[in-house]
Amino acid sequence: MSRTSASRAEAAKLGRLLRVDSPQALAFLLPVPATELRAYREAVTDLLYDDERELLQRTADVARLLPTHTLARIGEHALGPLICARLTGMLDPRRAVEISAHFTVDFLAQLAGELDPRRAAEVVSGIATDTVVAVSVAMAANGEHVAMGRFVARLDEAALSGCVEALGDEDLLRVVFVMEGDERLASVFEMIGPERAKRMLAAAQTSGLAEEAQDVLGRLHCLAGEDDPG
Amino acid sequence: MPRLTDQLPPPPASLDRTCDAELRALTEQALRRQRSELAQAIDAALTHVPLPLRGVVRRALGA
Repeated sequence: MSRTSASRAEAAKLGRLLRVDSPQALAFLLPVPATELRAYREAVTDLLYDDERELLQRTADVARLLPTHTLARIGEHALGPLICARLTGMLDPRRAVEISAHFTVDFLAQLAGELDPRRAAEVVSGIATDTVVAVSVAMAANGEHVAMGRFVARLDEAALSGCVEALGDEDLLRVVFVMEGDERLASVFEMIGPERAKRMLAAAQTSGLAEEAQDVLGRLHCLAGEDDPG
Repeated sequence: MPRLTDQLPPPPASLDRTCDAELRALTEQALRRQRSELAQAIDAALTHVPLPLRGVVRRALGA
């Protein structure tokens, strides 16, 4: 990944975390190396997740008193996606998966947009494949490509393959541009297949995603041990 | 209780000093928003708890 693209991807991730809507609002971060931006983002993630931890833990403990369908109603209609995301990693993973089965796909998509999948890995892997695919489509429709990029490394092959099949070319490119962990990039492109990859990268030139396409190509060449053509 | 601004992580070392304040303000805003959402969410959640359990839940939450 080129230095500029890496910083742009990191600035977008930080913007999502801070809920800054316009990428222009964080343009002042672009000269900062991506490694520094990533370290700052991880520190802010810890800050946000650890804030009010005692109250959140008490809330998670209280959840044991109530049936899952009631918890889902409370989660969707009162707590909202941000607080539910913070609570997800504090619940017993099996119970969290049971609660999630009562949520609407739209709410799950909003919750996933706020979730740090590293803190809820067992929950993410426990969600049914067809639900994961439906949520990914809803997230793409919401423009949540940055958040989607956090999940790529956490999904099993079946779920990832289902998402690759269900998402459009432009959405896929936006996700792989910001996805965490290049070790999964090659397998994502195996799922995409050479014909679709060629079409996707060519279309990017006319859809304002030329930088993203160039960057992804460069990373693929690096993974293959070749020189970056860019 | 520590001041909210003391809890913020140090800004990236390469960030221009004039931009430090901007980044800190955005981070502080995100933290304040989350606290406010949490307080409102707990209040709203209690109204959805079945009445016979509401007192127990309220006490457990310390709300």
